[in-house]
Amino acid sequence: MRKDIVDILACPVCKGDLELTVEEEKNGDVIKGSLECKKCSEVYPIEDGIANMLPPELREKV
Amino acid sequence: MGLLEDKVRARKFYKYFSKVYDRINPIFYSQKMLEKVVEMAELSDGDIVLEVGCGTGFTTYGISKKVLQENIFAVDLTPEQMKKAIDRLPNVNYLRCDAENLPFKDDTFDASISAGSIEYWPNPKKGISEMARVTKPGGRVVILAPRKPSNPVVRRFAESVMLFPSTQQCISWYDSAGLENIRFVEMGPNRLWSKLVVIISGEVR
Repeated sequence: MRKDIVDILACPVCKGDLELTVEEEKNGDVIKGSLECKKCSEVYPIEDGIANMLPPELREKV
Repeated sequence: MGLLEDKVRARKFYKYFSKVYDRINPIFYSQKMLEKVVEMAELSDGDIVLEVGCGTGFTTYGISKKVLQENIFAVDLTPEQMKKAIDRLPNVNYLRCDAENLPFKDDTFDASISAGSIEYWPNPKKGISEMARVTKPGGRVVILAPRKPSNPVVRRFAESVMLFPSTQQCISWYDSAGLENIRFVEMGPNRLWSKLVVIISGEVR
């Protein structure tokens, strides 16, 4: 995931701004990390370079 | 309630279906339809484009003929399908998300496209409103949906598997999402099946 796309992302539930935490990166792209909503504090994982932006209740189901 | 209206079942179905998807899909979703979808989105150079339900990347590829891969945001519920899209178009921005809860700020995209995905959304009206919300004023929201079959026997079968909105139904969803200048075309893969899908396009106010 490109770091600069955080600017256009929003929490899927409350549409709040997100804060990026990078755990692993490669050529400037985020491979592992997370996005935390500054409004509702929900955390969305980034794994294998792809952010999982499913609402929490769907994330567990699908 | 159709078999695939539930997201969990849709997810499981596609996990297995993805193995043969690229061989079956061209029968129902032709190159001509793809070209029409992209044309109705009225894309220009430098546009930022959202694609909801990218699957294996068939439509994504069509979009990438008009704008740079880096300007495309392709989202899907299922990572299995997405893997094929990533192999095909590695520089597109991919995200896993739900069509009815898009993780983007308001007025972000110059156009939003979704082809062959709406039939799996439990709440299509909400999905269309979400696409309208994240699209800039003046931008287009384009959806390709399979039409409700007119033959009653075929219709009964089809409706047990998926949700088939009628063209009228799609227009009413577009209306309630506040979309304007609504245009649509009904198309099919051949003369015998000439109205298999409806492609509908509306402008964000």
